Amino acid sequence: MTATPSSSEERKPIDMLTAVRFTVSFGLALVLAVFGLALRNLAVAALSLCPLFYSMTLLLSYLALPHHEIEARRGVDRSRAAEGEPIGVQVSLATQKGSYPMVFVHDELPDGLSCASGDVHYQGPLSLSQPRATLQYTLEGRRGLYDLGGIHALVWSRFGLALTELTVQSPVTLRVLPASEQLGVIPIRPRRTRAFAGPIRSNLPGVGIDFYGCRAFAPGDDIRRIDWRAYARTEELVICEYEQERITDVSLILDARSRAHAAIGSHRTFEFAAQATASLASSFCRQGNNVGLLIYGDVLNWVFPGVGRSQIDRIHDALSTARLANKLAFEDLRHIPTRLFLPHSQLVLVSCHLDEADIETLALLRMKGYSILFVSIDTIPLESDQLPPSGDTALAVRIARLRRSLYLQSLERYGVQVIDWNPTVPLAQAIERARRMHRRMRP
Amino acid sequence: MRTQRRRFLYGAAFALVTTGVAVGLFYRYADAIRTHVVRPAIETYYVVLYYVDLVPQLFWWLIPPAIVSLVLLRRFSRPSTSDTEPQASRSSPIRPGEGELTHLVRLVRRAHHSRFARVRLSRTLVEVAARLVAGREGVPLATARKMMIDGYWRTSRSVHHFLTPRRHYTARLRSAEFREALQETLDQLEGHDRNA
Repeated sequence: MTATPSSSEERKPIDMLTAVRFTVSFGLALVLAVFGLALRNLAVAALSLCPLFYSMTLLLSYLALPHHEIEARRGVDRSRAAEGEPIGVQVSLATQKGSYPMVFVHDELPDGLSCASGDVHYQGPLSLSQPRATLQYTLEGRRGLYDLGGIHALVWSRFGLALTELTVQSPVTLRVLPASEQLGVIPIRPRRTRAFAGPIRSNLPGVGIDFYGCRAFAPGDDIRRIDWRAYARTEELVICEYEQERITDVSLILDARSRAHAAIGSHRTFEFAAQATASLASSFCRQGNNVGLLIYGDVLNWVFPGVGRSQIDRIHDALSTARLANKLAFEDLRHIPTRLFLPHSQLVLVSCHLDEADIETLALLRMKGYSILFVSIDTIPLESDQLPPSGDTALAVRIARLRRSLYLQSLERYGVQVIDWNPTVPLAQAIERARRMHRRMRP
Repeated sequence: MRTQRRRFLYGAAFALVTTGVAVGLFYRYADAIRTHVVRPAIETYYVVLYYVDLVPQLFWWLIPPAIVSLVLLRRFSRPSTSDTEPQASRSSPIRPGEGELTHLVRLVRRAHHSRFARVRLSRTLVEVAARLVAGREGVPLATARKMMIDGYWRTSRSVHHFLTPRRHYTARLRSAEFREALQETLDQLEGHDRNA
């Protein structure tokens, strides 16, 4: 992607350094000359010659500074990248009329983006005869939306006495998406599925893999599905049925309440939640499900449900700009707008926080007929690493673990599926463990 | 941009012309300038110097009030913490940006010397125990809480003190026996959680 070539320039309120130097040196020369003449002292008057010479040279250097236009073209190899993925940037600079004897160019990066390799500075001449000067570097950044704006250029005169600063505009917008990982099949069991084939077991008889039940043969049934062994035993025609596998509606809810997240050392738990949501969204969409996203905590931030690759992009875009919010109206989960979700559909909540009120709300949602998958981010290992080891810390860790374990057990008793994710290990591992537990608990 | 450059050049030209005029005037009217400009300027300088000598005497009248004014100005012009920090939650005692474990560590640390913190820690453990009892006995959480109030856990004195939600029980614990009581209570609860 290439930004529109934009020619210079916003000149800074004039080249302050040159103006100040001229004023000081000329003022000094003037004072010395006046005093020398007033006192009729030639030696004092002669002292003014040096600063006068300096100020005149400065003035001439400034007048001789080239004031041609600088053209900048900033190109990026991609405008959307996940966290940790490098974005290649190339900035080429050229003049259309004259030449600059010495230019120092600095491409200013916004907070959150950093230069992974290459150099964001250029120092050297810029002339018509030589090909364009280029800056080549790669960027890496935190999740977010960034505007790369002006490129700053300092231009020196030939002897380096006068200088001027230019800002060349070449706007480019970059979007850094949350890092997502490849997940396997996620064990969900919604009460309602859609009509199309997919990976979710629908609790309906038909064509599938898992055994569902047997019934008496009815005219029109496929004879290949007759259980001949049962017929040999009972002399009655019996049909074996399998469970249909369909796609379903999945609503992802990212908990963006500021009270639900913490800053632990250099980690932000909200970043883990955003990454988990991105991974889940990609996985559900790839399986063909109809996936929507609600970022709960601020004003209604809702990605309408959809399918396919473009829906993954829409959800990732929304996640890239998701921010924590501190709104009293959304302080607990009671105000989740359930009208946005289809009845009896699958809800997936991603959060680090769990308290009595949240458990009650999830139980109520479960009673309304929603199937709920709760991805609970376990921050205790991260926090305990940050805290100084002591007897008090050990006791607090025991209390926190006990409380968390009981809360999760309560949720499971209400029929909420829980994925307990320690963010120091991949999410896929936690899902695999939950799937194994789920399989073991199935009758 | 061009206007700024032009202004700079005009300024420089004005300074040069002024210098030229000043030099010309000095050559033409040297005596008059000496009498009416330079000498009064030097006299004025000495007069000002005389009054400036008073400044050290004024020191005690100027500097301390200036310091006090500066301190007061900084104090009252500082923005309130509620303007700069995120708002604390109404229902959660955890500070914004702080994890639950950090809050618990602070509570345990304070509980060594603060009865109030000890009571709060006891309440936290009572909630945990009530949830454990509700799961194990298959009763609603409200019933389990009532059972805790009635003194459900009586295996030992310290555990009974910790897990019975009565303020005076926990407050009566001395700091020295607090840690042992807490450890014993946690052992009990963890044991029950494992068995359940």
